[in-house]
Amino acid sequence: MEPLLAAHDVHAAIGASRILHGLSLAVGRGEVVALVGRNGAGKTTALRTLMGHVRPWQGTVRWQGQDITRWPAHARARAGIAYVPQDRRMFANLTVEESLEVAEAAHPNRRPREEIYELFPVLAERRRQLSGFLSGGEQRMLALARALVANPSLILLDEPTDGLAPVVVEQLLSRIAAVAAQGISILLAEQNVRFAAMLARRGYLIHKGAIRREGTVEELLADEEAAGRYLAV
Amino acid sequence: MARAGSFSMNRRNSAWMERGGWPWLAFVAVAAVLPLVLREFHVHLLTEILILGLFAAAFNLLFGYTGLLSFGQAAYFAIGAYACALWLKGPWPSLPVGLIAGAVLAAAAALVVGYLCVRRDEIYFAMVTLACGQLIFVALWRWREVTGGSDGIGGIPRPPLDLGAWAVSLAPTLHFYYFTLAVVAGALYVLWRITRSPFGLALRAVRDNHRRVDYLGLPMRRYRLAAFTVSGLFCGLAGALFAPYQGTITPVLADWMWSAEPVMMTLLGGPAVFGGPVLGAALITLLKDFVASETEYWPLLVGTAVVLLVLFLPGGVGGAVRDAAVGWRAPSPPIKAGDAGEEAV
Repeated sequence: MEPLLAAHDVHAAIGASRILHGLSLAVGRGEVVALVGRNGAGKTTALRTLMGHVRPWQGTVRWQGQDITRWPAHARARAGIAYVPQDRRMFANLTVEESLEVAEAAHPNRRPREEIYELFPVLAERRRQLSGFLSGGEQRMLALARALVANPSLILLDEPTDGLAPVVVEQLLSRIAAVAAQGISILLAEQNVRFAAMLARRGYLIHKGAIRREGTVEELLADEEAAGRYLAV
Repeated sequence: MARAGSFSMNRRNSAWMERGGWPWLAFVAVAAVLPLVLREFHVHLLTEILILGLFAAAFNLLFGYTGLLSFGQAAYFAIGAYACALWLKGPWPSLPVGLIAGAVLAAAAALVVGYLCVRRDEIYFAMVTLACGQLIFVALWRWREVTGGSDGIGGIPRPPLDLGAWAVSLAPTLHFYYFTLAVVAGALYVLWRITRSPFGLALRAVRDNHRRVDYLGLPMRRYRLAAFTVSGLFCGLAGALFAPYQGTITPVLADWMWSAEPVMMTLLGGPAVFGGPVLGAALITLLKDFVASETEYWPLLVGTAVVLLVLFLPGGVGGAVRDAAVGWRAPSPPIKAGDAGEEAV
């Protein structure tokens, strides 16, 4: 079956430094896929290239079989790809409610706000607060909620747990799992393989801008040689 | 973008009085009554405050709401002024037509210039708008046959306002003041509704984090361009009012010094409050007038006042007033000074 999103031999640079060297990966419908690797391995650049904020100079990105390599980010967002970046302070001077409202503006078949609040009750409590004053975990939830407004088919999730306390990580994990349970595909970039293993069945190991290993997360975890070489475990 | 325009208007409409209707009523009431107790010269000054207030508020749609500092808004003000002046001196002088012509031409120019400018951020954006503004300044200066070159256009008439069976003369200062008040209040109201619309919300998202707006499916540059064009439209309308107000216009209106006026007014009045720029326009115009009658070194005093205010009242005078009002209504103010979370008028 045609994968939802497929990257083939993608080479990309940020400024003068080449970051991706022939990255290839695929995400199927309803699948949670991990993209694990160390700091600086190219995870964020990979996601930004898939989202269209970085133009690859070689290679193709396909969305449901269609070549979207040259599409701008907003067109990809409208087509059903959502991106939750690692930095969480997005619209610090908008309230929680306004942040969701602005996301609704672009999408005619948006998800009802009650559904979002049901999934993230803490956001309903904080709806009138400026998002810049939320806690780290709440800001992550808001970022995830904002992505969900668009009813995406795929969410690109960049290190959602980075810098959060273990209790908060657990809460966030349950929310991400709830999102995945609705059949939304997730490509999860993570440094922490064990965390990625709690959500994903399948994973890719990225190192120096290319995929070095591919398999089920159990295989990746068991591959001690790979873990020693490519991961900071 | 039209899709962005429909929802949640009713909810906001119903709470109109709560969400800024009172300041509107107060503004219009004071502006309507004040000239009745003032001398003619001060009514003249008040007219200028209204025109410059609209100019500054149009500038602030870009600065306070979209996060773009334009140093070339005088160009659109001047285009509006010249277009209106030429129309009024033409064979069918009509002020409403002149105003519309000025605003539309300025918006068209802003659309072209904006297309070039919105690709850049921060200081680079400011520089490109400045350069494009100076280009328009030079064009007005050199195109002698049409613009009168450095002499500008003089003897701009104020044709009577044709209201069907009844023509109102706009020559008396008081009549022109009320005409200006009607146009400016209407324009400010439209601008205010824009800032409160989903489009305005998207602009504030662009301001907070322009790199992330695309991820929501909103084409960031198109939003910036739309804001630039709308700002140009209202700058042009202010300029179009200015031509018959002043009677004479020169290319100085397109110069970068004139572009700095709304910047100062907005900083002084407070960019995070909708009415801030209008308040700033009033303060600067009054300060200039009263200080200039005492000393020729008035720019020194006005400059000092601006520096002190920026240092000690970073939210501007309007921000301080808003915070005081919020503190008076609710004991613990939920909004930090300088944040544009919940704008009042």
